[in-house]
Amino acid sequence: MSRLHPYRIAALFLLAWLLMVSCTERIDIELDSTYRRLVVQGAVTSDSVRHRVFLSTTSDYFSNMASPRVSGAQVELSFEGPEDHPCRENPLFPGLYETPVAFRGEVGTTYVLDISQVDVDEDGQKRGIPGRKHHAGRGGAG
Amino acid sequence: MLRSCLMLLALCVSTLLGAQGNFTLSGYVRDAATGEELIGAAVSILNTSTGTIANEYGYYALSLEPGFYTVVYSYLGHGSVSEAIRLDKDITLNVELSEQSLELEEVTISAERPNANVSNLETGSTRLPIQTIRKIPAFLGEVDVIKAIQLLPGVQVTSEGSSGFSVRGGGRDQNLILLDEATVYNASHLIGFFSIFNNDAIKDVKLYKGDIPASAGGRLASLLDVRMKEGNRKQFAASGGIGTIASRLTLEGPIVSDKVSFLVAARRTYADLFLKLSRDENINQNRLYFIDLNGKINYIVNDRNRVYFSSYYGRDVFANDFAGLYFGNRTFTLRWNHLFSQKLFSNFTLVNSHYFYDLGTPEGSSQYFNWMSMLDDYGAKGDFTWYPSPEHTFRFGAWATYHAIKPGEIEAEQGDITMTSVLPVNYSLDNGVYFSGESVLGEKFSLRYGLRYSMFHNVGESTVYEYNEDYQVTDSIQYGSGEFFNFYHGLEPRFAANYSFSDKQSIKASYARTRQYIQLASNSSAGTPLEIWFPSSPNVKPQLSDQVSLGYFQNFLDHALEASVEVYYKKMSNSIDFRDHAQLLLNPRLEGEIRVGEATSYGAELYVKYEQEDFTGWISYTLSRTIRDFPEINEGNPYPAPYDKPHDLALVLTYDISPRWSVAANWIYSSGIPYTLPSGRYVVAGNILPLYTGRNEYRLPAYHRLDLSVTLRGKQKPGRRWRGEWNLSAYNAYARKNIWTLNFVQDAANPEETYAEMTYLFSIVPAITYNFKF
Repeated sequence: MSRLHPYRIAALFLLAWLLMVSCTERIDIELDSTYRRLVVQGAVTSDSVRHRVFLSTTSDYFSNMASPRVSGAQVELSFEGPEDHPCRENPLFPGLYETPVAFRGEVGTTYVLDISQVDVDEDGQKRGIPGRKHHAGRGGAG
Repeated sequence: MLRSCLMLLALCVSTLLGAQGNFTLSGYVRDAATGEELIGAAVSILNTSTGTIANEYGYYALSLEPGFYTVVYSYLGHGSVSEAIRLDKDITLNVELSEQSLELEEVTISAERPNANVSNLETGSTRLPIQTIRKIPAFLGEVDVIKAIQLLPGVQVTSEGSSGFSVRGGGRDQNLILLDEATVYNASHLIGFFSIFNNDAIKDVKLYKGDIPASAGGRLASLLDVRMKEGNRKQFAASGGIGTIASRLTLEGPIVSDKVSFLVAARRTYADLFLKLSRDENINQNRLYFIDLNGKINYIVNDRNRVYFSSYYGRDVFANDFAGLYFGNRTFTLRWNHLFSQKLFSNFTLVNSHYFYDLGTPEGSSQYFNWMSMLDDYGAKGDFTWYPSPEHTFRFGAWATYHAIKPGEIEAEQGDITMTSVLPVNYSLDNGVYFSGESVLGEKFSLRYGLRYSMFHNVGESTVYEYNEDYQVTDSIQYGSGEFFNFYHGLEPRFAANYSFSDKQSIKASYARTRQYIQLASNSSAGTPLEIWFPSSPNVKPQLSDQVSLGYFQNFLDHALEASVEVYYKKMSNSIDFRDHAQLLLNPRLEGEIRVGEATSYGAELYVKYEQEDFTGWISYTLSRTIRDFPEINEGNPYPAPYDKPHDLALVLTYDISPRWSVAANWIYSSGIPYTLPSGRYVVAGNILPLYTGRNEYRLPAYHRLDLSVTLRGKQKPGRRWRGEWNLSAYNAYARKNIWTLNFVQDAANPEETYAEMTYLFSIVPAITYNFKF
């Protein structure tokens, strides 16, 4: 059932027919710019590893470059319990923040990620984003 | 009993109107060659402004003071007939009009052209006779009613090649499409490239886009009234065509001369025959076709009673050895016309409409599944037209329709395990009554007023979910079979006025309120067969539309040139849209995906039509905007509706160079459709993801296209009934690459790079068709 989801089959049929009659071509279109937003990518897993948070920003859709990394931020991963995990930026890979020691996430624990000293919009003022709580459910993603 | 009540009523009101002592001239207006009733034929008294129009069944009635009159009967493309009568009693006069090319000697051609567009009360409505539609260049040579409608002002194509259309900013599902009074739920074949209407079986098409008559309703934006031919009453006839993609054959004739006639029509495409030529097994094993069957029988019992039965059956098949997709409509209409008196015409209709789709793998296959969805309408309607005097016509009636919608039944087998899941079924009943009147007040002023009272009930068995403000289900209520559990009702006033400065100039105004209780769950503009209609419910309020329009109509060059400008403003409330990334298919909690707001549409429509014997052409231009305002979509900011195209232009020309050769062309230009495109991007785990900032905030490049066609008719010889013609057409003649969809592709060689890729459907599409009749 999962492989042959009806919707997917229908889409395939329609696609097959369209492929017979349609053509594709690369085109140039102009897209607007929007203000930069901070992009936070990270996960707490139940593996005993150094946990990583990667900070970058959005960019123009057709910027066609690696996404700008956010360096020099303060990132702290904490959870219910005595231990905090202030993350350190990896000197070889700006924008990548790692916990100093390996640890294992536990299902059912709430983790809080605090990020501060970030200047995403490059106006010279560093701001923080308040920590957001993530409850680790079964499967361990946070 | 009913009859005597009605007679009594008629008598009372006729006394009130002081129409006593008058006599009635009535009858049917028919085509001389086929005996087909001519819908909308004009009946007028010479040298007066008194007149009427034959109704949907070709019937007319005029009540006049006793005296001598010359009555002129006229219809587009037909020679007029004048009859001198002495009205000293009620007279029944059935009149036959000949097509101009078959002129008979005794027919007098009236110098006057009909000025119906100026004098009638209709704003925003257009009648397209099938003869006009046949002249327009057609995609793959398949003459298509809906493609012709799309060339009228105020009508937007929803996407390239689609049979969907948007009227004055309304959605695809806001058009009531009736085929012999039965609702057609999906008028598309092959994802919309063809409509279900086989032009050989169609007699008349009329689109109402603003001022929908009070006798029709249930959709906000428009009524497309398609009438099938009755079948030739005079002699056996056949017509058909052999085309690039499809062939057609229609047979019609009398069973009992002048009493019973029949029509059967069939059409089938054979794209799959071409697929067999492919060496690729994945392609040549495909079955891909659609079929249409139309049938009709009508029986003139006597002067007062006629019975019609008509049916349509259509099916699309898209299958190979591994899976198949089947869908189609089926309609049945049984009608009985009865004259209680010459002044009181009535029609009683029973209809059934059915739409289904079925998607699955063959039975016995290792991963068997089947997904079936269907909906059925069962309806009854009684409609009365009363002609007390030439100045007043009244129409009233009642209807009831029961809807049964089964959104999905899924059956799957894997090994020994069989799973079935059934989405909640929706039953509902809509019914009501209506009344409307047309009154001519003096030489220059006429009015139409109507009121429709519609009621809607949800009927069990059903499960209704309760949602909190985050659209999470908090509770559910179960209703038993046959239980009425939710009721909506409301009045729908309709009003129109015409002030004629002269027979060439008039100004018209109208107001209409419409209510819609059943709608489509769709967030694509192209439309797929896998669509789900859902009714109003405790969670979904009926949609409402209020529209005002104002038009100026003027004819020039002895009515050969018709021009009109109409402006309209339409406010829609309880409008429905869907949240971002809505899951519409196979979702039992569909109502949780709905967001409700308001929409506004306004615009100006220009229509200039020139018609001569050998030349017909029109320009339609629409300048309009349609904006939606939903608190929970687009962060509460207004955004363009999916079919908001500020500029829309169509130019249609058909010219008969000689009796044998004709050429036709149309050119279409419209603003690109609104589109949601990313304004930025971000990267997660190496994937470039789009960042959207607003719904429909971009617009695709403008759409334009030229179609051409040439027709060569065979030589006509006396005594030879066979008439054949070759039609050569080119769709998209200058091969404009119009964007159908726009995708973003991550470059395989350089993953940091993305580019835009457009899909366009057609380059130039040539086609050849041979049409015949005998």
